[in-house]
Amino acid sequence: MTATLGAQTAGPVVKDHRPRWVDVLASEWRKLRTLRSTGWTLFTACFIVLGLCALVTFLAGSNYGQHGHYPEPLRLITGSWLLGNLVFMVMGVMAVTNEYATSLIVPTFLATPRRLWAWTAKIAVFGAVVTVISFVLTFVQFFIGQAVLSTYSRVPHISLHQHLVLRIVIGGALYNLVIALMGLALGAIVRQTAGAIAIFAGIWLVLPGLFQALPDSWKNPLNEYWPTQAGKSITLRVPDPHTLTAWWGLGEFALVVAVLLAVAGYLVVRRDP
Amino acid sequence: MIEVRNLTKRFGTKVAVDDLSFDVPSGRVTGFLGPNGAGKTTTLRTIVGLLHPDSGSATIDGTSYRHLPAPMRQVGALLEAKSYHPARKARDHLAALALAGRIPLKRVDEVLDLVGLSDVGGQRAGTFSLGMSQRLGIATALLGDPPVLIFDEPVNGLDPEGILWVRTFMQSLAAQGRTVFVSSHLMSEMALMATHAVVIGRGRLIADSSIDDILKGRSRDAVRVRTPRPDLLMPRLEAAGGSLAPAEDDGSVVVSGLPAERIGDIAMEAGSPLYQLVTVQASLEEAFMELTREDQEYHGHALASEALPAPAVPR
Repeated sequence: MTATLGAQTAGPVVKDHRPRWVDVLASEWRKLRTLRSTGWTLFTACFIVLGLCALVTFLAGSNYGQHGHYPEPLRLITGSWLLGNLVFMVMGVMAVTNEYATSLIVPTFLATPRRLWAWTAKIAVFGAVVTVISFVLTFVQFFIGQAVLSTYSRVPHISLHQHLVLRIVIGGALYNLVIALMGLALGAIVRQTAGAIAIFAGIWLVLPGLFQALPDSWKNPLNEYWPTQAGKSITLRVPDPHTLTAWWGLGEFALVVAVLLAVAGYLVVRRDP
Repeated sequence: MIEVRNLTKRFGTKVAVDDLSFDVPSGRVTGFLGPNGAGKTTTLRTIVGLLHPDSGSATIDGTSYRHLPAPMRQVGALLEAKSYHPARKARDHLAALALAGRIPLKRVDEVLDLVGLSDVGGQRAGTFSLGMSQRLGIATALLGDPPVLIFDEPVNGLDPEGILWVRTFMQSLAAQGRTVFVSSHLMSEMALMATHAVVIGRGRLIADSSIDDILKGRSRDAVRVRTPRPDLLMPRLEAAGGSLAPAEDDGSVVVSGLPAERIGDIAMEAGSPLYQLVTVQASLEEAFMELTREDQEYHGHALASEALPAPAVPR
């Protein structure tokens, strides 16, 4: 029993040690980097994503030009990015729901009863880490795809120096970031991994698939403005009909996700955990 | 000093805590007793700002938890033993929380030492037994060396040695002048650990007094009487207003409603020898059962009338 009392009851000491937002930030960073198992899972997932990217571009390269079909070559690469998007979605959801599932949320809120601080610190740390991972992964994906396709002489050469290519790769990385943040928001709103992922997949993959069955008067504006669809326009060199222009599309998606993050923040503060 | 004033918390239509008021002063272990579902955990969670009260307030030294300038240095709480990520090492878990509370990281090893987990600080918390988890939870509460400590069922799942450790630990914390508020449904354990108890049932305050008073005051006067001539004594005791329990194996009878002195006098008047005349003190369990009996009877009654609709009358 070496614990001592005394100083803690006095006001000034407490005031001098009033936690700041950066302390919460340091705490979130510590939480993130001390989950080594999560790091390895992520590392493995990234490897699978890269392997799949190589496989998809390999198949696309070998079939290129068959049946008189000459797709836009950059799409052979960006078309393989979906699995990477999924990894970022799951990362975002789990970054929040694991705290609810393990009850870690209780000591977290005891340490930081200003829950908006806890929430914004989590967004900041997670967003920064995901930005780094996403840019590295997306560029490596691009270079792998480029290397695979360059072995096929009939596929036109692709390079970062070409018009719009750099924007598309950067845009792909930013799209992953927005997807991950949307996962974070839905995770905080639903507070349960399976439910949040199901809702996310519904918004992102199932509904846009159903749109295609609708008459044009419904389908075209939905394809244009539905947030996850609009965001994807950043990865197109030649815009499809009925898509927003690149930055407007990503901007709309980012704005919607910002609103979701704000709604999640409101619920985090208002609800009983 | 914890002050709870007219606290009410509902979950949907169910009232979990109903207009509850009490104080928890510093320098002693105060027990928080009640049957399962009485609202103990809800009250504790409201005190530390995890739940929003519907009305009323809970404050610590006059400030609600959410507005404390340095919460971890002012209040330590253990609410759930296993509130950590199982893949994170115990030391990392504590370090992350210490950072959030702006507490120096050297304190992490101090609290691990304090609760006897120094050797396993580098292990993943998921490998911990329930007893070790409770210790880790207590270490978390002690990180900020706070003057107010709140523990929800800290002896749950502990072995006898662990229970003894928690008991002496709580008492030494209180001896240092801290406010120690410990909930439990183990009444006998509370009699050993605490000197004072707040008892609630169905969200309402039932008693707020010293353990001794709960044992003495609220239990009925019960006296064990053994006599070779019950035929002489017992009718007179009943006539004097005592109520008799059925005779036990050794022929003794527990008489309630009359003090021992009065029974002795009556026995002398009746000319009945007495072999045994002992005032029986109820255990805390018995006192508790008695305290909460009204609530439980009321509860059973309400259920029965709802469950049994009026029979249909055939024409």
